[in-house]
Amino acid sequence: MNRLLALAQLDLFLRRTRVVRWVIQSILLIVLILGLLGSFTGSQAIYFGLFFIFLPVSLVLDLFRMFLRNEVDREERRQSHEVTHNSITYSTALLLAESGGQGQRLWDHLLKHESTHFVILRFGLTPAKFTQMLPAAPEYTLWIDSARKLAESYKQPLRPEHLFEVVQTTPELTQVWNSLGIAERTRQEVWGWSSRIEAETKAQNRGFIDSLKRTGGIGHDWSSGYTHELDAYAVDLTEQIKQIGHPIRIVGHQTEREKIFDYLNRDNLHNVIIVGEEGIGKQRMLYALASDFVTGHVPMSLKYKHVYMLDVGKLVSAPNQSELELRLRTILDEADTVGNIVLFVPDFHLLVGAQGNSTIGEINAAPVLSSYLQSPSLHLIATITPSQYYSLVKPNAALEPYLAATEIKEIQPSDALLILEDELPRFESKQKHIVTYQALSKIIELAERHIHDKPYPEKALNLLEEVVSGLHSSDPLFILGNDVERIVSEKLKLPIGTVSRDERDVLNNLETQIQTRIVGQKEAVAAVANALRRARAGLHSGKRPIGSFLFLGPTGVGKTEMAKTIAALYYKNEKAFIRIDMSEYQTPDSVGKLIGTKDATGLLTTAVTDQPFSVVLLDEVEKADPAIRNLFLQILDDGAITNGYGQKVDFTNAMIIATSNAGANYIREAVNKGPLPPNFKQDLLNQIQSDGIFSPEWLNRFDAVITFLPLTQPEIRQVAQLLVNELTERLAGHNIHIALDNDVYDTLLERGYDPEFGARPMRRAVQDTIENALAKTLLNDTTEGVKNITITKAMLV
Amino acid sequence: MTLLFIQWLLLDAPATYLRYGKEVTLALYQYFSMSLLGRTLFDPWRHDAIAMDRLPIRYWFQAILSNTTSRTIGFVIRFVTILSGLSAIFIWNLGLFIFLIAWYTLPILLIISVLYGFKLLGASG
Repeated sequence: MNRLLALAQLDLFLRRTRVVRWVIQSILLIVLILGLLGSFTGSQAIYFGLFFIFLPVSLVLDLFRMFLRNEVDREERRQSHEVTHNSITYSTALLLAESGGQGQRLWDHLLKHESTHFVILRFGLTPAKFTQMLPAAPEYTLWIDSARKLAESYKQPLRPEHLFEVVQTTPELTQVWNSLGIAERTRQEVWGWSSRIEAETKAQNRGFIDSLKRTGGIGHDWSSGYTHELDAYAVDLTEQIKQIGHPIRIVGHQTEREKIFDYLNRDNLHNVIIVGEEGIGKQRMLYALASDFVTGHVPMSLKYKHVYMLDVGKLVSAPNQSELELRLRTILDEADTVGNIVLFVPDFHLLVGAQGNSTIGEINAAPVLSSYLQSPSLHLIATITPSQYYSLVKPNAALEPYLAATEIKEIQPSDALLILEDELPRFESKQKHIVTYQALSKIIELAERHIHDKPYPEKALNLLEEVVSGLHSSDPLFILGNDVERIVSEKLKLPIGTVSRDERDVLNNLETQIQTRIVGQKEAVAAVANALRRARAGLHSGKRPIGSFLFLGPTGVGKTEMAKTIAALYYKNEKAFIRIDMSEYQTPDSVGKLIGTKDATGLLTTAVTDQPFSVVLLDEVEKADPAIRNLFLQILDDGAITNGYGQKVDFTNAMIIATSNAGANYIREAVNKGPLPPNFKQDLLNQIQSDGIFSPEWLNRFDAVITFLPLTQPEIRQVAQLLVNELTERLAGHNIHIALDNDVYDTLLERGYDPEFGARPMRRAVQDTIENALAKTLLNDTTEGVKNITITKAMLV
Repeated sequence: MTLLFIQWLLLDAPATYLRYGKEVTLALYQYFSMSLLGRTLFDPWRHDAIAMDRLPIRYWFQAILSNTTSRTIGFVIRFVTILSGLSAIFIWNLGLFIFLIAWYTLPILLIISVLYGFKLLGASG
């Protein structure tokens, strides 16, 4: 038998017989009291006699327990270092001892075990529900044997997770996991999460002595100066971290952390500037570094330092420039004199950002900072974005030589998931829901797919915050992946997640849906419907716009209407529609108007930043200057463009539709000649390229080039019907019901059809013809209530 | 098991206590910042001193008085703290020494306790 298992059985026996210990201790107490009282009655000898007999019994029992604990620790250490087929952890040994060799009892105890309980809850299950799913526990010996083999394959001692995992291959549980969409690898990740928490708890419980050795004693503050100014203009992070009560770990930036401490430890160049984009985790890095100072996990020369974070906002709110400089000088003077300060300066650009004439809130403190940065007793860690670093710090001779730059890059999605796991208790403590692992994974998946204008971890943390704040008390206890989809879908106004039956019907019949608004244009309707279905199924790359189309065709054939229909069907919002009139960008210098300059915002970039989930319609794209058109090569390829401020604007959630009349005459002529030849579209594109309207590389960037054919007279008549239906619906809201005689449509066709402008004059014709006739009738009608009016040809003016 | 218990009682456990005692001694040494306070014994209290290098001569007496006061306060507090630390370390180690003696004599003490208990019972009976 495994020695640890034998010790566990002994331990269990002692735990079960603890009542004997209590009885002995109670007897001891009673006889002692009676003995003391007996000194007044003269009968103390009996009680003291009993006391001196029972005292050794109690002490021997205590000694034996101490011996047992010592043996357990020693044996567990040995078995975890020398892993063999028989190695086991003590908590597993206790589980086996409690089971008494019975499979069912082991299963019951296993589900109650702290780490198993954690794992089950994080999958949105309760132990009771889980028990129901497994009708019978496996046979004990076979179970243990399989678990040992599994543990051995991982070169680990037998742990509860191995006992749990070998059961999961039973058909009943495989079905459960499959229905939850949880693979074995996912379960391993959650076990990893559980082990991390266990290890962190153990590390925190290492106790007073260990932490004292690392963090110093009472004399350290006495040997440094007072911090009046710092207390007023900076936050004492050392105290803040102590209040949080647990260390903040660095995820994905361990190398950068080492590098920062390496710099801080140097005699010269011992100040660091952390360079990273907004939201990349610079602030978290500062907190994690502060946490290292608090726990003492820093090089010897940096031990016992006090960490302050400068409140730059408060500092730059000084009434004038000289006051501000004086304030900064006083703070730095104090930080330098105190002797044990590490000063964090977030948003460093605010201190060195002014160029020439500075205003309040914007200073150039580089000359002031320069002298303090050379002081060996002050360590400074600043944060800044790359563009600010290269424009403000790198060329500045007063700063650059004294600040070691450490660049931090965006972390991987898997690391962002670890940060979500770390931050989850902070969010969960505010409400009664349990956020499952599936929900966290879904947050990462949706952040990866839909949010491209922010980096990790910010975008994942923002989504987690949205999800938690979007929960209602009526929501179920467990927050699953589909809850995340629902909340994110509501926030982003995007169809996300499993397709509901109603939505499936809509998607399957998209062509019909589109044809309620678009007349004719079968090729265009089919191409757009297929693209929308692909996007909804999540098949698009995620690195490019959701879809990109070039609509070619004459005026008034439904190109713009098709774009609006897409906005309504895909984004469920007809206002998710950004129309850019490309005829306004006929010169290369108009690029600034489109994407912005340092002094002005750009029409396109601002609109897409405000509404990233939208259809972007580039109307009459052939009229734009080729240089302007080439801007869209980047958007169509990379799904992003850099605006005038140097910020990346994301287009991966947008659908780009360019419309053009290029080749309209060619189309018209081809249609007039009769049925279209099979290679009509290729010929059209060749014609457009040979005319020099669009270059081949520009045309090839689109997912599809779709031709819109001129409308025939019957199709124009259908357009008239659609417009009349629109009017009818509008009037019904005013209790006016209209009907049109058939020959009224003939008049509309005469007035609203123009071979050159297609259906465009028809809206005007309906407005002029029907609405005018209706207006006259209504003015002459003196009756009250609902009105039913039939429009006849005679009524038309 | 009995042999292991005896080995633990006579060797392992006292070794653990000694190790623990050393750790606590070091922790007390750290807690009272003995070496740091020793090095800075005569420094001004919390760096609270007036720099005299650019001070007009007429303020020197005042500055010397103020700096001496600061150094005196610093010395007194540090000295008292070092003494307190040394006392704590001494008491702890003395306690540990007594405990170890008691530990080694525990088997005999237990037997004596039982015998004494029976003796008292016999005397009363």
